Amino acid sequence: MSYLLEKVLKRAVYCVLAAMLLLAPEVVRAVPPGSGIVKGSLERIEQHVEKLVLSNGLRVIVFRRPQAPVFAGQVWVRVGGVDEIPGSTGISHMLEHMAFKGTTVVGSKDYEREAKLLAELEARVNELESPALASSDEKVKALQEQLSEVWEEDAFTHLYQLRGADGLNAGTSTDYTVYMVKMPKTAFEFWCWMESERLLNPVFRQFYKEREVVLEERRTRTEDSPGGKMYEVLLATAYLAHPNRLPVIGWRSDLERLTASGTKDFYNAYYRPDNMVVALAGDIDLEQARPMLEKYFGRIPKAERPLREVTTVEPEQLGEREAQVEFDSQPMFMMAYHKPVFPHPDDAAFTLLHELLSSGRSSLLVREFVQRRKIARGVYTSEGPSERFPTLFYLGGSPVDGVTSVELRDELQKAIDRVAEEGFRDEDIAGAKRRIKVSFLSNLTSNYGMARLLARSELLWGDWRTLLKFYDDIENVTNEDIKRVLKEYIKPGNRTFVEIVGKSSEGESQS
Amino acid sequence: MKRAINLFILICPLFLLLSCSPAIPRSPEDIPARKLDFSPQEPQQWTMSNGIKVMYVHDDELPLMRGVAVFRGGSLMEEAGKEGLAALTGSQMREGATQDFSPDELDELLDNLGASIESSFGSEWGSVSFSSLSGDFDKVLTIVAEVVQRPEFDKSRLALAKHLISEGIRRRRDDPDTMASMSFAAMVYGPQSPYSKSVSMQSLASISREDMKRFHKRFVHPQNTIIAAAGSMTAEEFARLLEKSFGAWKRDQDFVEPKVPAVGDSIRPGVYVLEREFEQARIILGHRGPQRLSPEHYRLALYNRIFGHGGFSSVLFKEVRSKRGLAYSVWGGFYPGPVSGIFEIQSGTRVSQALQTVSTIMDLVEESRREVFSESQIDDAVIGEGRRFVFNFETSRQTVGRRAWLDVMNYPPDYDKHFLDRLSKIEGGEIRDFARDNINMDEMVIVIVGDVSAEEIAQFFDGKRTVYRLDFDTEPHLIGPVKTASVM
Repeated sequence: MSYLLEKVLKRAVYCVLAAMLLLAPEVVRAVPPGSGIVKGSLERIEQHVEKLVLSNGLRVIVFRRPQAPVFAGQVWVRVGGVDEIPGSTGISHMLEHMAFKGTTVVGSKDYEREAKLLAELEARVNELESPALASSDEKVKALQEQLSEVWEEDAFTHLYQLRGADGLNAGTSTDYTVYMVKMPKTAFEFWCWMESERLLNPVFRQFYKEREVVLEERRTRTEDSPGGKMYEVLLATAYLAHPNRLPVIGWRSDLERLTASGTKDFYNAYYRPDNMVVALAGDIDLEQARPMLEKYFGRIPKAERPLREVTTVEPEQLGEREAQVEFDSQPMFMMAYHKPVFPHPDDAAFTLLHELLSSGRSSLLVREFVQRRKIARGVYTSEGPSERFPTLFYLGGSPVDGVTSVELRDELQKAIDRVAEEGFRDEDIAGAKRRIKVSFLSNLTSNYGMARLLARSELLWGDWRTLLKFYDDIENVTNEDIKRVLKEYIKPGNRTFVEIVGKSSEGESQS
Repeated sequence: MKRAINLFILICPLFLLLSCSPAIPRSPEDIPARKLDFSPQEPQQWTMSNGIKVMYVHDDELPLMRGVAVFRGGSLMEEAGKEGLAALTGSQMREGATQDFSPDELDELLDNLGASIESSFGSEWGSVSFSSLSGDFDKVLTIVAEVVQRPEFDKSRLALAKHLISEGIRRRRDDPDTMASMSFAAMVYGPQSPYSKSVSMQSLASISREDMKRFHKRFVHPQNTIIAAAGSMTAEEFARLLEKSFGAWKRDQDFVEPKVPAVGDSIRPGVYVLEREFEQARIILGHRGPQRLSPEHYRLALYNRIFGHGGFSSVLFKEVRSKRGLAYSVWGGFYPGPVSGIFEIQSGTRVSQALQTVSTIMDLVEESRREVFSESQIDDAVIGEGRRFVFNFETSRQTVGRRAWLDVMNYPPDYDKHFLDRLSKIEGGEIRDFARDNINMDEMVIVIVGDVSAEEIAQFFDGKRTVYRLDFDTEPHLIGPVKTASVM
C-alpha cells in the first residue's frame, strides 16, 4: 500500500526456482470461512507476540517462531519524506544511506584523527558558496584523500555479512524508514550491538561520495523512468500544501546541497526512542532477549524536546487538475483522487475496491479494458504516498497503439461511474474479502513479513493489535458503502490526471 | 527532601541493575560467534507409478498448500523463427483454461476461491505453480492437473496474449536496461543464437495454436515432471490427492529427454554504443563463461562472492560505489549456463563519467585475473557463506523449492551436504587461476546505452577496441564501426 523506496541488492541468479517458489505471487487468496481463518490465525499470533517497552520508551515487538534457527530483525523509524521541508528534500533517504557507514568503533582505523578531519571537512563545506560545490572543491578533495587513509569502507556491512546476514537492506517511504536484516539466531547479541550502535553512535563518513550515489539512484528511479517521473509530477500536482507532495528521493537541487551536519541535525530530531519501533520475528528466546534488548537499546537517550509534527492540512481540491510529462516513451497515465487513511471508516471500502477493480484476472477493469475491449495494455489501482496522512487512491494504465491516454481515462471513469450506480455483485465482494484475508495469511509465512506487519501497525497506529480492527472493518463493508465511496471520492472534481506524452523530433509533444 | 528520597529510590535500583549487567563490548567483534547447530529438514520424496517425482514438506503452521510442477524444456529448444513459443505456451497453459472451464469461468472460480495457479516456460524449464487454502486444495489440484495435462489454449486468450506481447515489443525502446541487455546478448552469443534471440513481431505472428500444442506435447510428460510442495496436509493426504489427479496420466514411451542446443554463433568483441537521451548511461560488459557444474564450480562460486556478488562487501561495490561514488548499482560475475554460461558486469552511471566507470570496472576485472584475493577476503567469504547457508531453508517452501531446483538443474543429490566443505578447501591462487583462464580481456563485449557520443567513445579507446554504433527499434541493429580521426 505504501510507496517504499526499497533498495534491492543484486544477488546470485542461480536460485531461480527457489526464488520463484518464494516470490510466487503473494496473491494467495481465501475461501470461506475466511474471517474465521484470519481471526483464528490472529489469535494464534497473539499468543506468540510480546510487546516490551524499554526504560527509554522504545517499543519492541517480538514474535516467537522456532521453525528455523534464524530471526528477522527490523528497526522502524517514523520519519520519511513527509517530515522534510523544501530545500532539504531527500534527507531521510540520505540518512538511511549514511546509517550503513559505520559507527565510532566500526569503519575507522583511527577515529580520533577521523573526527578532526571530518570536522575540518564539514567546516570547509559550510564555507563554500553552496554545499553543491563540495564535489568539485580541491580542499574538500584533499581532506577526503586524507580521510581515505583512516576509512574502512563498508566495514559495517562487511561485519554483518561475516556473521551470516541475509537480506541486509533498508528502505525509506513518505512515512517511515526501515532497517532490516535476517540473522542466524546465534547472532542475536551481535545484531543488538550493530543496530543499537548505529542508532546511538553513527558516523556520517563518506557523505559527499554517497551523495553522488544517491544522485545516481535518482537518475535510475526518476529521471530515466517515465513511470518515476510521472509519479513525481502527480504528487506535486495533486498536493498544493501538504508535504506528501515531496519526492522521497528528493529534488535534485536539494540533494546536491545536503550536508553531513544538516543530516546529523535531522537524525537528532527524529531518531529517538519514542519515534521508533523494533520488531523481531523468529527463533527468539525471550528470557535471554529481554535483558539484552534493555541493555543495548535501552541506552538510547530519551528525547527531551517535543517531536516536530506535520501540521499542514491539504486544502480541499476545488476542481480537476492535469499535467503532462514529455518523455521519449509510449504513452501512459495516472489519475488520482484524495482519500482518507485507516482508521477512517471509509478506508476499508478502498481496500476492497483495489481487489474488485484491478486485482486478479476477473477484476472489473482488467476484464473490461485489457481482456474484452483490448484498449489497455494494463490497468492498475494503488494508493500512496502516505499511510499517516490523507492520501491518494490512483488508477494507472497504458493504452494500446491507436488509443490515447485521455480516451482510456474517460472510458475508465465511465466504468467507475457505472459501478458507482449499480454496485458490484455480492459474490464478487465476498470473493474480494476472501482474497484480502488469504493474502494476509500468506504474509505471515515469513519472519520478514511477520516482523514487517507487526512493526508497521505499531508504528503507524500505536498498537500492533490495530490489525484486528483493520480486518474487522473489511468484513463489515457493504455494497452500499462501496457505491457511496465511489460517488463521494472517485469523481472528476477530486481528480488529478497526469500523462506521459512522447517527444517528436521537432520537440513538439504528441498525445 | 521527600522528592530527593523518591529520586534516590528510583535511581538506586537502576544503578544497581546497570552495574550488575555485563558491560557492552567495545566492538561487535568482541561478541563470540557461536556455531549454529542446524541440519536442514529433508523433504519426503517418492516417485509415482507414471514417473512423476514428488517432493513434500509437511508444515501445519498455517492452513495453506503451495507448490509447483516443473518440467525440463524451454525457449532454448524453440525452432528458429518461432521465438516466443515457449513463453506463449507457458502463459497459455493457465490463461487458455481447460476443457471443463472457459477462461472467464476459470478466472472467476480461482479468484472466488482465493486460490492461484500460474504457468510459464523460461529458457530451460517450465512450471505450473499453485497455492490455496488447504480446505480447497482438492478442488484446486484437480484444476492444476488439467492445466498441466490438457490445456485448452483458448483462441481468444491466445489472440489477447499476442496483442499484449506485441505492445511489449513496441515498448522495449522505452527501457534502457532492456535495450542494453538485448544488445549485450546479441553480441556475446551472436544475433542468430537461440541464447540471444527474443520474440519479434515476425516470430510472434508465425506462432499458431498447433505449435503450442506440439511444444506442450514435447516437454510436458510425467517422466519429465517434478512436483514440489509444502503445506498443512500430511504427506499421505497429499499423495492420495496427487494419485487422484495425476495418477491416470500416462507415461509416454516415445518421450525424449530435452537437450539444450549448442550456442551456434560466434561472439563479436567490441564496444557497442546506443546513443539515446537517457540521463544515466547503462553499461554491460563481459563475454561467455563456463557451463553449469563445471569442475571449477566452487572456484566460480567464491570468485562471484568476493568480486561482484557479495553485496555491500564485494570488490565491485566497494571500489565503484563506496570509494568512488560512481554508481548506485554495480554487480556481476559468472552465470553458468547449460552449455555456455556468461561473465557479465552491469552498472549505471551519469553520462559524463561513463568511460571512467568502464575503465574502473575493466581495471578491477584485470586485477582479479592477475592478483590473488587476500586470505582474509577468502576466509570472510567462506565464513559468511557458511553462516548464511541456513537461509536456504528458512521456510518449508524454500526447503522443498531448493531441492526441486537442484534436481531440475541436475545437481548431485548430496550437493548441499558438501557445498561448504568444498568451498572451504579453495585457495586464493586457484581463484586467481580460474579468473585468468576464464576471463579474456580482448574478447570483451562492452555495451553502453545513454546520451553518449560514439565518436568520443571511439577516441577514448583510440583504436584499441573497435567501437560500433547500434540502433534499436524493437531489436538491436548494428549500424557499423565508428570511424574517428586518430587523436594526437
